[in-house]
Amino acid sequence: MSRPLRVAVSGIHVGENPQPGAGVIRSLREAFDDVFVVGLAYDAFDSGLYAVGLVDEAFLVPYPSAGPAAYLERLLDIHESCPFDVLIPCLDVELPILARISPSLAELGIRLVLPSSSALALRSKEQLPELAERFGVKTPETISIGGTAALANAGLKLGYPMVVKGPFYEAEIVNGPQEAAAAFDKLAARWGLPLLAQRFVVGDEYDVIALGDGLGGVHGAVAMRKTIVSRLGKAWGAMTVSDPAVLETARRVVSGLKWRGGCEVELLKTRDDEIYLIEVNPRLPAWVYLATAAGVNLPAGLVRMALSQPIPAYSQYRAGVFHVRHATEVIGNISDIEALTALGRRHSVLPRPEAPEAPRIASQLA
Amino acid sequence: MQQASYDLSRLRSLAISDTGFVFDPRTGQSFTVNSSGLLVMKSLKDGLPIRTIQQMLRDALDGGHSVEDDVESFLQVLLDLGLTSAESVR
Repeated sequence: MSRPLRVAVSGIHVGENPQPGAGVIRSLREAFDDVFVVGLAYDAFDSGLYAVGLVDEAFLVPYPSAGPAAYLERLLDIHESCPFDVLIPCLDVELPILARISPSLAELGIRLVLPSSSALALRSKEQLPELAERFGVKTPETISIGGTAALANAGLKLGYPMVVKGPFYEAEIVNGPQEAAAAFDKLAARWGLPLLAQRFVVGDEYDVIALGDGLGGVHGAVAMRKTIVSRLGKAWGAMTVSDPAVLETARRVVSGLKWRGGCEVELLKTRDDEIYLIEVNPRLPAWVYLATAAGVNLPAGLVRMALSQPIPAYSQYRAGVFHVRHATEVIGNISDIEALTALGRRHSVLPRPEAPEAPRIASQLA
Repeated sequence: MQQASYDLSRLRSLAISDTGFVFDPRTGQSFTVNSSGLLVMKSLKDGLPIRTIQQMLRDALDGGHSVEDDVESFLQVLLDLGLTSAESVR
């Protein structure tokens, strides 16, 4: 009898800017009986470490900025003590480093699905205009800004409001030169230069999730519209929709890129039904479980791709399925922090501190 | 009297419940309509001519009301919401 599938998943912090790992794991648990999940966390306070029933084992890993050698060494270390068959990276910054070390991981039987380096480069934010033109999709005019003079010129050219975007994450809508300068300082300090200035287009945002097979095939595309948007622009609430034009546009982009793996295409639809490409995210998004709930389990397909099995024939998903995020507290103990920081693995090595005995309050019923 | 003719392809994609709850699967938006609105929307979806719908509504309201303007205003609301588009005027 074969042993249960073992999958390592990163990006398990579900905070104000939720990472996709928790939704990926939830989907895997629905698809595979007895799946064993290894959580890869970057911080001892990543919330997924303490969510009951989410991960079976958890390990700290170094940030990708530590370099490929350190990252590989850590993954090999983890694999030796807690083997896993498939790795699902859930953060953008992990992809370039994993592309470099994937041959070494494959030697140990660790499978993962990654996009080609050319597809990964073409979906970067600064390449967006070229990407859109190549695939016949509109995109808001975008200008690279390396300094305050370029920022001012972008404001004159694009007008206000205007969107100022970081090279990897975050965007702010600014209504004038002063707000633009403040956003520039903030985003440049956090993400470095160059930033991007984008023409503000009024419309509804639609996001499409899909699996690309690397050959131009697009599987299981599901579209949603954000119904509750957080301060950071995240989908605190979202509903699946079935808009043929939105789905067709997203399919054209994913197919044209010959994308391999999970991805998310962000689109904007104006009142005049014009569709603009806003961004292509190179991994499954944090709302991935909404697609699973609507009938399309993409993490399960991703695992099958990694194991060189056929991608499931996804049926039509249900429109009108929605999620609303529900923030709750997960509880840890100082011994968890000790285990993670001292050993890099969540195993309680210290007995949990006893609570002092509370003074008893006698109920005095008359 | 001139009367607008409407492109009903969008309207036909709506899920309309007998309770008056209407869901647009393209946008995820939902609406509620009263019994008169429900009669008009279902009839439009079934492809009935606007004059027939007006007569049905008049009958439903015991025939004592003038409904032409109300139906036209309702169609204008659907138009404003992007649920129909005015195709031509005849």
